[in-house]
Amino acid sequence: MLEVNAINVKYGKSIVLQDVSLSIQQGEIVTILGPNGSGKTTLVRSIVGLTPITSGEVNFFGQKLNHLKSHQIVAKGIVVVPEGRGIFPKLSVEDNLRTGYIFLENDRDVMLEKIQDAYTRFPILGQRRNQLAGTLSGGEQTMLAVSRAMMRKPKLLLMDEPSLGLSPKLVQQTFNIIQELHQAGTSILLIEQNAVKALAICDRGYILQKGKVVLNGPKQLLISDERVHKAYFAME
Amino acid sequence: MNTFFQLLISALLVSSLYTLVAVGFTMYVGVINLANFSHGDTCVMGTFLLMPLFLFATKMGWMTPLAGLVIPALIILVILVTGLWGAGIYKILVKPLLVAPRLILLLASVAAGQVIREAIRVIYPNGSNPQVFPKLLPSGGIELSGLTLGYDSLTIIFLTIACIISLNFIIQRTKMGLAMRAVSQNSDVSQIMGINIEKTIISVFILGSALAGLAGILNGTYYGIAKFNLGSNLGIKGFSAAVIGGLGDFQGAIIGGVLLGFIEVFASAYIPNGSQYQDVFSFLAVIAFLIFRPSGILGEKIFEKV
Repeated sequence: MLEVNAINVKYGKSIVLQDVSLSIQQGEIVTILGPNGSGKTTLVRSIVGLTPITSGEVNFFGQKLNHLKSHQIVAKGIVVVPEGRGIFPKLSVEDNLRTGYIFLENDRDVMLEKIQDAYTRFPILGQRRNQLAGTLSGGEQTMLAVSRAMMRKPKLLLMDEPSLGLSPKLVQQTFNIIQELHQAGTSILLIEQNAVKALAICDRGYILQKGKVVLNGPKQLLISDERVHKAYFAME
Repeated sequence: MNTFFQLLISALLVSSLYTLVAVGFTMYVGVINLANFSHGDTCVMGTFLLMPLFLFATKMGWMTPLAGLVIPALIILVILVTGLWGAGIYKILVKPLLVAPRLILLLASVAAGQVIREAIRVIYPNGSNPQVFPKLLPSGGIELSGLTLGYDSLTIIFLTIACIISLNFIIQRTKMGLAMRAVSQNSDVSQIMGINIEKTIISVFILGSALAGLAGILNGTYYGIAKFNLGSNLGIKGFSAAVIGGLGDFQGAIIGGVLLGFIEVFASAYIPNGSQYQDVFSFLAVIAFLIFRPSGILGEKIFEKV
């Protein structure tokens, strides 16, 4: 469904992504692993059109996304949980949830239903519905970001390090939700630093280093690869 | 006692005018972080658009039977034209410079203001000299134990309150308002939530300029005079009120506008020889705020990010 073909991204003279290609099939969870500064976030940003691509192309269900604006790209059925959660700190919890729906869909009743779903899943959000989102704790903000992503039924969910800075319990909870969404048929592109957890739930993965894909394949291959083992599992 | 109440009313009037300008000014700051210094001149554009329309309507003889219909229609027409001007400014000036540092856009807005000012001077007959602004609002008023409440004053105050309430409704309760609030906080995330930021910013320019048009008309009716170069003063007053309340904050702009109006009117009444220094008092207040509380009354404290 999503195909990234040999994209290059440059900021001024420095090359951030070099000939990166990847693909996701319907219903898959694909993970992208890589250290800080390897270009993971830039990859997400270029897929949704926030960072311009120097060359190469991005296709979604056979449609070229390159020259579309971000709001047109996400309208095709892509939902993003951005880096650092990306909640709006000076909007109320409920308004944050609204932003996940109202600009792309029109059915008010469905929206209210989805908001209720979010409150059922995370009662704490319901209790704080009128509070400014910036006053929530980090964990609650993640709940909000995930709930906001679930306001629409995405064809593809892009998650940029959803577990960053969370307590182990919340990390587990976040990964449970990701799996749940996957079982409901959502295709997911998961960017992570938490390789152990990400590899445990993914179907396939890509390892990104200094802007290049250095390894890709099904999860067994990645787990057994010596370099991956050294880089990510040595401490375990 | 009566003088005090008269002063109170004129303070409310001046406050209304400043608030209308400040609310528009602060919207630009809030949503795209731009101090739009052509805002005051857009107000004056409203003033100078109304006068020929009024003369024309009078000449056609529409005024005598239908003044109560024609005048609101003219005001709405002017508001629409200034709103359109806002859209034009966005297309021509703002959109190409949106990626540039904000300072450049700020300078461009100063230039846009200059263009309006000089255009009025050149195009309007005898435009360099002050013009008499027509009486739009009904004369007379309500007498309350020796105190006169003019209908014109009441209309100005009423229109200002109506504007603020509807603007607040737009910002807090509509989809467009939600988009504006979202874009003001994080434009990247706003885009991936599906917000068309260009549409959002252009609505800010249309709304802000339309509001400026009305402010200009009300300003003209209050002082009964129109000057081509009134815009810079009006713009700076709007800016000052916005700074006092907290730049970019809607409620802050209202508080700032009211405070500025009261300071000006009461200081010039109670300080000997004060009326000559009317502007000095308000600018002193602004300087005091800039020194002691630069984030304004409602603005949040600016933390240094480590």
